[in-house]
Amino acid sequence: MASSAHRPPGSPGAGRALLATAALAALFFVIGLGRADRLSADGVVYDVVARHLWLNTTIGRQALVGAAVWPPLPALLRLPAAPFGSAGDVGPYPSLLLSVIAGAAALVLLWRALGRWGAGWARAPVVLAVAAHPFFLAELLGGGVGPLVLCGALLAAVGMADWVADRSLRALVRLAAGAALLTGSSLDLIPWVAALFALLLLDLAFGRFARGQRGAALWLAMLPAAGVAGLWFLANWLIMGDPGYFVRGLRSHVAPSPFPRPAPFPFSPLDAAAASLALGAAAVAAVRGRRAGVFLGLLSAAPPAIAFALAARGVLWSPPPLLYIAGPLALLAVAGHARGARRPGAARAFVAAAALTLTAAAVARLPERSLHAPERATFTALADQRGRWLPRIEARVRARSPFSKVFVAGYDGLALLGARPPDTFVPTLDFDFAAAERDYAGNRLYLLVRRPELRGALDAIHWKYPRIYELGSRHTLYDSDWGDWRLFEIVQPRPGGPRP
Amino acid sequence: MTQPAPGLDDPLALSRAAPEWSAKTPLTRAQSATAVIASIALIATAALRPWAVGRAFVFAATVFYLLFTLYKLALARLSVARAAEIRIAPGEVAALDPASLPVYSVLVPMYREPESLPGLVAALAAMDYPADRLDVQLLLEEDDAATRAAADALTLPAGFRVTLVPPSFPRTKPKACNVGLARARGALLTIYDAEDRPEPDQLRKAVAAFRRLPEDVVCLQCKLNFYNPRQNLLTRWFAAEYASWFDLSLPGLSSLGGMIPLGGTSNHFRADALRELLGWDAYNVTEDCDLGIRIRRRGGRTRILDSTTWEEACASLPYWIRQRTRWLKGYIQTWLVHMRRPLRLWRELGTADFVHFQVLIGGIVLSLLMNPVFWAMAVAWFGFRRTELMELFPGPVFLMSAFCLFAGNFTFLYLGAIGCYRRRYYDLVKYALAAPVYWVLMSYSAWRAFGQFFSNPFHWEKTRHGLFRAPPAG
Repeated sequence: MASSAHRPPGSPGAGRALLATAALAALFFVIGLGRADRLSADGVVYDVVARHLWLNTTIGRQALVGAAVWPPLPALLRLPAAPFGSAGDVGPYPSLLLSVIAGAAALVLLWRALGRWGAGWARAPVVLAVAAHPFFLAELLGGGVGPLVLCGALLAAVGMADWVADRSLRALVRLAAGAALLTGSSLDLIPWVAALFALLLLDLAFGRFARGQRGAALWLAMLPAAGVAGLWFLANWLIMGDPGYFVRGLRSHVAPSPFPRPAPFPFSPLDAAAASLALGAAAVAAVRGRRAGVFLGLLSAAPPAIAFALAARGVLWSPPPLLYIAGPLALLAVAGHARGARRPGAARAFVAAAALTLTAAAVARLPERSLHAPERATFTALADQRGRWLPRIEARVRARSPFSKVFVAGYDGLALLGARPPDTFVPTLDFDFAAAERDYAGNRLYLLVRRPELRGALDAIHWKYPRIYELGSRHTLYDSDWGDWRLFEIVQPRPGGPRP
Repeated sequence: MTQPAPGLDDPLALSRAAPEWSAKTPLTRAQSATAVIASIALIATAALRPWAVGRAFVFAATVFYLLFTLYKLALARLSVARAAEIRIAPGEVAALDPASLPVYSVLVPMYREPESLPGLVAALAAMDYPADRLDVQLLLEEDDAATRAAADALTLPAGFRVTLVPPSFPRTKPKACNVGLARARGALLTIYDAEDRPEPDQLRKAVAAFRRLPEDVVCLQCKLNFYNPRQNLLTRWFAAEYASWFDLSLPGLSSLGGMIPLGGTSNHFRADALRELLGWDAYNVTEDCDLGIRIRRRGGRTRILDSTTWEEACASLPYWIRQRTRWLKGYIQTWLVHMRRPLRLWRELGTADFVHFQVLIGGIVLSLLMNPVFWAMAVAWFGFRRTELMELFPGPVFLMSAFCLFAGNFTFLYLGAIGCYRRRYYDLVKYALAAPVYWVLMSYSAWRAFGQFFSNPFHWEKTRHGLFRAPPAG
């Protein structure tokens, strides 16, 4: 068994990689600052959560762990920058900082992996294809979670390919780190992580190892991801009082809903091209007897297949990180053939052609109903809503009573309110009528709920009080609509009224 | 018996000629005064503002834990990324002309270990080195009748001799080694413990390495491993700890050219350089660690040699605790000795090595002493929901503490598992994951060491070996 215990002395690789990452990140950051109005809603939410965490508020801790569709790592990784303002306060620094660092790291990781695999000059078109992809740029400069997910996916995929090829411990640790990063960063990547581990099990079952090595490798590979998941359950038990609280929304989501969900077959030419390339790479590797290439190809073809299954279940929303990684992984699978190729020139030319093909597919016009269409309003739109509606809602409720409170439900509510909402507004993620009436006795209470569509439909307010947006509840009276938001006045429970 | 070199026959030479380097005085007056004043100030402040003092302590400890975790991660990364060991290829070893090999002195201090003697002599006799160039001294205490009788009963091979160490205070291993150093004939010198089984070509590898390396490399530390890692749960944990240290920390330190806290055995020296350093501090119960720092302070360097000495992991919990207590007490001694003049230490070590010293010597003891406090708080918080503890953890401190608790502890667990895997102890990986219990034992030993430092600083709690019996053949 090969061991990567020792490398040539004085290798400057890691230092150069860090410098390159820092330089790229700085460049992206400067560009991103000039486009702050494009910060994604996801970025806003995570920024606000990080800010609340910094301030050690209950809502911050609840938001960190309380929903499977809002994994904790993106918020945690924003923490070091949280004191310097969030999208709700001064500016989008935490989100932008994280996305540019992750994006730069992903590009550098890809560059180095391709270099190790002998891709030579073909590295450039591949990395450019990834960097110039419209969705990469949108997520990168929009403070989205995409670059972080891409980083994790590349780390895991490269680790898998290297492990199968040379059984190195470093590859195993990379695989483990990538899997852990994905487990804590994106719900729809968890099936892909499961696929990764399934392939690893397959490799361990049929590979040749020393006695006890299989079990040890499995421990090392799975432990970090298992640790992240276990900690998530533990945190829910400690903070929400229920270890399974964060997945409850998923169980309730399968119920029929009149509001828009992703169409079941919304694939774009890009997705088809990526899947075809990946499967083709796997097939060629199988013919040549290269197990690493087969595994990498299968892994790279998995995202569209998993996305298909999740979309059919109605638990996928756009832009989905799962499809976001499909293109880069497909290029990685193709580039893996350059490793040990008998005709390196031809292999590299093919890799470059694949990169250009995917780029062309990406810049082609996408169907309007594709999963890749942006989900919802950006930072600018949110700021606009905040500036226009909140003062009017506040004036409306305070006109009836100066002692009024408006509970704003859900993660979208965090984005709407920002990190420092006016006192009249109370963000809530685990709203309870009885608790609200007890804690704010003497106040006139209101509840602001957003239309339950896409990811917002999984907020606790919708699974605790199903159809509250459409039908209200025994505790509420309809007041007014504000775009997608509906304001209810909270009243004493009425017998025989609409039931939650 | 060989006559001692003139001027070097005093086993306490260091404490007499350079008392500022010796642990003979546990605390200097300045250190005692500083400790007393600081303690009074702390107690007075705590009495007036207990929560503020608590918050300050928690904040400082959390920052320390965070930096310690990042430091260990960085060392692990360096250990894996860089070829930090001196590797001598088999061909290079074979090419050494036996006639050109220098006399090699081997010191083996022993005390009340008659059962270990036959195995030790056999292991050393099996070393691939010309008998006429070997100078092995079995350092026996004069009043150790049992071991002396065992030595008399053996027919010692050529190059072996017994050196008697007269009874005197302190009765320590480094004092015995100094006696042997004064009588050593070799240009190169090494130390082994009674239960050691070095690789047969280790001496030749050391010769080749010293010839290849510049003169300022005065010491080579070999890797240590256990021949009984699976004897019981304790030895499994011990093996995981060694794997983490020798495979994921020391190589990283060595790659930086930094100071190496020596292990107590299989250190190979240029004998003259060792004499210039006045040998070991007879009063320091981790004389090896102290010597590694003195080497660095005097401009010398230590490198890691890719050769392994197999030794016996202590399988008995009471003896393990005694051994660990001694080690940690020695770390306390070493830290205090070298921090007598901290600015001078900084100047002589340089900033990087000064940081290594603080983290690896003082920091390890400090973390083991503090751990039980935080474990108790964690139990109170998670188990009994004592929310008043939140007063000690304001916003960002709470987050850092949570990170250290979960991510930090997981990091150390995982590094231990990686270390086992790297050493091909595949079956020990899962045991490394239960290391928190082992950490409790280490913290208990640390507090024991802290108490012993004041009550009995030079007491050498002897580790009992020979508890491992190889399984019967067939």
